[in-house]
Amino acid sequence: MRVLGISAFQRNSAAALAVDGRVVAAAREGRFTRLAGDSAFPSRAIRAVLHRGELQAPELDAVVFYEKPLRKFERVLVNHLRAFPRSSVSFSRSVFLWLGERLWVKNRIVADLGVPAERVLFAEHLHALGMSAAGTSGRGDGALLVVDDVGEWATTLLARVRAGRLEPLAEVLHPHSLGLVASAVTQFLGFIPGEEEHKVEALAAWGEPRFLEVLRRWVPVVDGLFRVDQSPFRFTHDSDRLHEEALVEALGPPRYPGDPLRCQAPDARDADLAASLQALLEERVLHLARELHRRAPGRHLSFAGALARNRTLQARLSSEGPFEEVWTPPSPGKAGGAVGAALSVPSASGALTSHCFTSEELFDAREPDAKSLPAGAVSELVARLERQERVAWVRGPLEFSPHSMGGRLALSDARGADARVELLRALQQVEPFLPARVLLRREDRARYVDVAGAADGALAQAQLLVPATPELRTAAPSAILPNGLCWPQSVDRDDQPELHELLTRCGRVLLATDFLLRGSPLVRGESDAVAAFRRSGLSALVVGDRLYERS
Amino acid sequence: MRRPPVLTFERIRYRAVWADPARKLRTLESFAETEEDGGKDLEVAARRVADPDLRAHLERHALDERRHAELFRDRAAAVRAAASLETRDALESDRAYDLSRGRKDEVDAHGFFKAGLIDELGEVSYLAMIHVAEQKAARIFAFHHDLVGDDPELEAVFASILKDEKYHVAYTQRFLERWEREGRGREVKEGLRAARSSRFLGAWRRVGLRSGARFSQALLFLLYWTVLAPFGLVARTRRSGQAVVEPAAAPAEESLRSQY
Repeated sequence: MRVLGISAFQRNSAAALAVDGRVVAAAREGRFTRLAGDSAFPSRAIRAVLHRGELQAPELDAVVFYEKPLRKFERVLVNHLRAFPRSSVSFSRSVFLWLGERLWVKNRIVADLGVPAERVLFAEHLHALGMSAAGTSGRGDGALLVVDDVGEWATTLLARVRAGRLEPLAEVLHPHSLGLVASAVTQFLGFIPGEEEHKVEALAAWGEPRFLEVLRRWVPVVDGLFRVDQSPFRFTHDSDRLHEEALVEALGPPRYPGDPLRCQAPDARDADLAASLQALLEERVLHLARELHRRAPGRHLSFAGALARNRTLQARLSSEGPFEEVWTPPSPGKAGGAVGAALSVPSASGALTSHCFTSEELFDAREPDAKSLPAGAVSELVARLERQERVAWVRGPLEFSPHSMGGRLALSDARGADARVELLRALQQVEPFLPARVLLRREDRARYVDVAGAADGALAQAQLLVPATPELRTAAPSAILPNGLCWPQSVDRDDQPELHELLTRCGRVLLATDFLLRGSPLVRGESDAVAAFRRSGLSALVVGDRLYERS
Repeated sequence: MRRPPVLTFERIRYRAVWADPARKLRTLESFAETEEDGGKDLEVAARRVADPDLRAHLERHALDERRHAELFRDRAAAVRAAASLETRDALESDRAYDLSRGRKDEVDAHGFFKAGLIDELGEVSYLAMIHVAEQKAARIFAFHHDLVGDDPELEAVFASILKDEKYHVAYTQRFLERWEREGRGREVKEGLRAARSSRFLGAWRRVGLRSGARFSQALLFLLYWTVLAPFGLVARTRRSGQAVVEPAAAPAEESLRSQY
C-alpha cells in the first residue's frame, strides 16, 4: 500500500510517503523554495518524496489531503455570517482565497499527479495530526491528545488508539481553542501568530504569571475540557487582529512589532503576560490529559498539534501528567499533518512504527576557498571550540523536523557568561531572551538535567525545557533561563556518532542552535551555507570534510 | 513624444506612493530587499564561474547591489524618523506597493530570487537574464528618479544607482557579444529570448492576477452586502453551538472519501 500524504495552505506545507504503513520519506516545501513556513501546494516536496521512494505518482494507491476542505469552508462561511456586519472585509479576502485554490484541491492533486480522482482521500485535520503522533509512536494502542489552533471545526481532540485506528472520545469546537488563545496573546505581544509562539514561551521564563487569574476566567474548565469566553477575542473572523477591546482594557495596550519589549522590572508587563499564558496552557493541557486518562486509562499518550511544540508544557506533561510515557513526533504541527495523512489509510500490514524522516541530500558542489580537512571535521571543530570560536557545522541530509538535530548546527563553547547571547547574535537573532540548546551526551543526562520518567526520545529531539542541575549551571551558565530551566538535546553514540565524538573530545557540554539567519529558513546545501556564513558573525564553517574561514 | 496611458497611470500611482510617508517607507524597504536578494545571488554566481574576468565583474556587481540595499535602507530609516513612523504604520500601509510580494514563482524587478539561480540556468542564460533584468531595472529607477524631485537625497540615490546600472548593462552586454563571437550565438539568443519572454509573461500574469483579485474581491464584498446580508442578520441571532461534543466514530474508509 503506497500512500502520499499532503498538507498545504496554512503553514509549512509538506508531503510524506508511506509504504505499507511505514513512512519512507517526508519533506517540507519550504526546504526547497527557501521560504520560511511556505504554505503553497507542496509540488517540490511531493516530487522529492516520490523520488526517494522510487515511485511515480500513478503508482500510488492513495493520496490523502490532511483536512476536509468543504467542512472547513463551511466553518469559514458560518463564522463570517455570525460576525455580520463586521466581517465584510475579511469575508471578501478569505472567501476569495478559498474560491481561488483551496476548495479545488482535489482537482489540483488529480491534475498535478495524474492519479484517478477516486484515489484522492481527505482525512480530518486533527485526525491527521493525531495520526502523525500515534502512527509513529511505536505503540499499537494508547491515548491520543491533539491540541491545535483549529482544524475544520474541532480545535482539540481526545481519542483512543486501537490497532492503529483512531476512536474519537471528545472534541472541543471552534472558536473554543487553546491554540488560538496562544496565537492571540502572541499577536498582542507583537510577534507573528502561528509562527512565533515559541518566542512567547521563551519570554515566559522572564516574567511572573500575574495575569493568570484573568486568563483563567476567560478560559474556564467545562465538561472536563474547556471553553473560551469570546468577549476578549476575535476568532471568528479577521486574523489580522485576534483580540477585542476587552483584552486591551484588562491587559493594557498591545505591543506592536518593533516596540521595546517590557520584560524587566519595574515594567515587565510583556514577560508577565507571556508567563501567565504559559501557566494557563500548562494547567489546561494537564487537565485535558487527566480527563483523557479517565476516559482511556493506559500508560501511553501520543501528543500532537500546535501546543505540542511547547517544550515547557511537554516537560510538565511528561513529569506530572497521568501517563507514564508521552510521545510527541518531531514535527507535531501542520507539516506533520502530511505524515499523519499518509498514515490515515488502514494499511495492509498495519505496522505503523517507523519515523524515518529524511528528505534531501546535500547536493551542491564544492565552493571556491574551501580547505580540506585531512584530520577530519571533528578535530577541527574541537580545536576551534577550545579557542572559544563560534562555528557552523553542516552535514548529511536535511531533517524533516523544524529544528536541525545535527545536520545544520551553529556551535559554541558553553562556559562564557554571554555565550548564548553571542551565539544568537552571530546569527542575527536579536531577541536576547531566546534560548539556545545545550548539547550533552546521553550518558551524561543525569549529571546535567533533572528529568523524571522515560524521556530519552524527547530529549534526543530537544522537545523539553527541563530543570538544570547545579553542575550544568556551572558548565553552561548562559543557557539557564531565569526560571531555572534549560533546553537540552541529548546525543546518542549510535544515532549521531560524529556529534557524540565531538562532545566526548571537547569533554563538556556545548551550546547549539539552528544554522539559519534571522528571517531565513534553515540552510540547505553548501552554497547556501557559505552564503549564510559570509553574512554571519561565525568564525568558521565546516561542511562535510571541508572548511571555510572568514577571510 | 506622447506618453503611453499605462505609463501615465503608473506615474500618477507612484506620485501618490512617494507622497505618502508610510507607502514610501514600504516601497524603499522593498527596493532594499530586492537589491539584497540580487547581491546574494550574484555572490553565488561569482563563486561558480570559471572566467576570472567575469568573476571580478560579478563580484563588483554583487557589492553594488549590497550598497544599493544600504542606500535604500538609509533613506527608509530617514523617512521613518522624519514621519515618526513605527513599524506597524509601514505594515499597515498599502501592500500593493510591496515589490517583494509574490516572489515565489516569479522574477522580481531585478530578476533575482533564489540564491544559486546560475545552477539552474547555466552561465550564458544566467548572464542573459541579468542583462535583461538590469535593462529593466535601469528603466524602473529612471522612472522613479523623475518622480522624487521633492526629496533631493532620494533623487541622488536613484542617480547614483542609475550610474551603476549602466555599468551592469554594459559589462553583461560585452560578455554576451564575446560569447556570440566565440560561436555561442545560439545559446545567447536563446537565453535572451527566454529572459524576455519570462519577463513579459510574468508581468502579464502579475497584472492579470492583481486586477482579477481586486475585481473578485469587490464582487464578493457586494455579494456580502446583498445576498448574504439577510442570512447574516439571522445568523447573528443564533448562538454558536456547544463547545464540547462527543463525536460518533465513522467508518474510516467511508469517511476518508468525503471532502465534508
